[in-house]
Amino acid sequence: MLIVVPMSFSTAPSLEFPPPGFWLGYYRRFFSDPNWTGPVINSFLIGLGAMSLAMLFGAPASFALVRHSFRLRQLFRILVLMPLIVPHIVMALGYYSYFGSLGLVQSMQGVILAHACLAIPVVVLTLTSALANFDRRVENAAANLGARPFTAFRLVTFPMLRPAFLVAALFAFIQSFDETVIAIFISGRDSATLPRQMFNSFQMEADPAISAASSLLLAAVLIGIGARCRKSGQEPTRAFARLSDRGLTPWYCRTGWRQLPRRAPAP
Amino acid sequence: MVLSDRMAATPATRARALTLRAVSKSYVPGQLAVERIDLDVRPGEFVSFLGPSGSGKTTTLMMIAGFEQSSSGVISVDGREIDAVAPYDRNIGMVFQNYALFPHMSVAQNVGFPLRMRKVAGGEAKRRITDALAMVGLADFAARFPAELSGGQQQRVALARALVFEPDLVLLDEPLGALDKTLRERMQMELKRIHRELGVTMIYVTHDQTEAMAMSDRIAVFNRGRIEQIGTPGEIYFAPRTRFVASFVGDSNLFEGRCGTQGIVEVEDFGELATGRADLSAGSTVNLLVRPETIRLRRDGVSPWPTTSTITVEEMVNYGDSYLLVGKRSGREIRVRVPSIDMPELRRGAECGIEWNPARVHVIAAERPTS
Repeated sequence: MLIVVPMSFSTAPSLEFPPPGFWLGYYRRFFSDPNWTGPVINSFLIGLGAMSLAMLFGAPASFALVRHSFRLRQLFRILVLMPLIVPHIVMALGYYSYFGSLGLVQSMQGVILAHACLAIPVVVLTLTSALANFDRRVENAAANLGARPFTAFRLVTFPMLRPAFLVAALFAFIQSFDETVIAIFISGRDSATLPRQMFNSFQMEADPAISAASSLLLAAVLIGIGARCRKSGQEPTRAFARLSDRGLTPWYCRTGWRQLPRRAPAP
Repeated sequence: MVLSDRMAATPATRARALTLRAVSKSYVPGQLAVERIDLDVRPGEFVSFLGPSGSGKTTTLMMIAGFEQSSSGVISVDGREIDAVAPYDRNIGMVFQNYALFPHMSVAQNVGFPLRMRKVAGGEAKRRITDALAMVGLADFAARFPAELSGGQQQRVALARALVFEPDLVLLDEPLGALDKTLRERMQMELKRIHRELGVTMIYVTHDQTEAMAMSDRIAVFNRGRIEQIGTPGEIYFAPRTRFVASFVGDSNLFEGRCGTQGIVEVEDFGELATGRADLSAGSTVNLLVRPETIRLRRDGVSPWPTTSTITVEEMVNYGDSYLLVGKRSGREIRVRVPSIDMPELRRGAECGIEWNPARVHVIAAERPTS
């Protein structure tokens, strides 16, 4: 971090430390060269796609794992968490040969599928731990008061677990965003992700733009996690409820960016 | 108090009867958690389920609420069977042990939740929420969130939420368990007041016998998945039908003995005890219950009662208003409650005469061995 970030502001024509001078030219190049902007866009698209898929499969899997006991549950858990254990390079080889026969190699869909598979364990780990601590009596209370199962989920379970869902989605996105090995194997030129482009560029020319890319990648991840930490200090849903109580539901309340002073419990 | 006035005016329309017929529940095949419960709760009655943990009282409550499915038997409200009705269609209010408030909703939204589910909206909903909160004394707390309330206040919100939709029944699962003693006693009185004002049928689960005594019209004493006895607090206390009820409710002295003639019971190692009951069949085995507060310390002079005895004092506990005296006689423990104002100077190891009115001795027929 201390080496790469200064290098990205360097005047040197290749990677060199300490940097001989200060220059923003590599950032300008990074944002104007389609060889860099293309992968950035790809990385975002793939990250969002993988995140959506991982949530789509990971969330129901988490509910099943925590709330139902069924035969082979332990086996199912291991299966779901497998991508966490298997070395990426091994999976990459597997994807390469299997996706080859499906025509998915060098396509964005292929990378999304592979990354979703990697992100599912992250989602499942986050959600199962949140669900295990979730008091189901609150759901019983909702049912008792007249809420059908889906209504109870929509109005009670999901809002209460919303922070966990957000964390799970964010981690799934980051998992995909900085994954390199599989991307190198199966993303093509048109679907190259940012880490893959950085790897290529490093091999070919040691272009200092790569240090600019690294710095930006780092910044992106830090901002994502920083935002998460800032938010976990508040209770976004409280603010939302308070405003909707008064008939106000501005869009930003739904994501919960407002912070309210915590009132002390009344005597 | 608008709500209470309005509801008190029509208690008959709101109060429902609850009937359980041979209701059983088993989690593990061959093992019954609840065994053939028969129960008739009259409209507007306050009935407590009292028993130790694992006695089946909460399971029975959960079956009434619909969170547990009975293995056999019939549960009905006003003659309408509800076994096949989903919890969300039963129209039964419940106050959970840990309150189970929705932390992401304000007090008003919590209380308004059942109305929202019933499509009651606008002014009508607002009025009912306000009335319900006023009834539990939280009129000014509508905009607060559960985390901003004390335990007692959360309890009141849970109660308001369980009452606001005018349920057929209200179930309370050890609702006061987490509160300290003073607050608990205040809430007991409030609950009784609300029950009186609304006239709604209430089922109250507790393992605290004084609580059950203080609040109930009738108490159902649970033990090992069965109801051992159901009756008024007075019946349960002074005329328990089984040894278990006698020992679980209140403090007790129990003697097992063999009946002689004229109501005399021969207790091994103790002697003959008079019971004032002439109808005991000679030779049968019975249990005798003598409540500690019916025993008096013997003064000088002639006792009006034939039942006198002597104990060796082993322990004295001061409860402020009374003393508990634990004495021994031929290896048998005798407990005596003495009002503090009548308590003489006594030492451990002292001999002490006791006496009691035989009419106060309750005879429990020996139980048939249960399989």
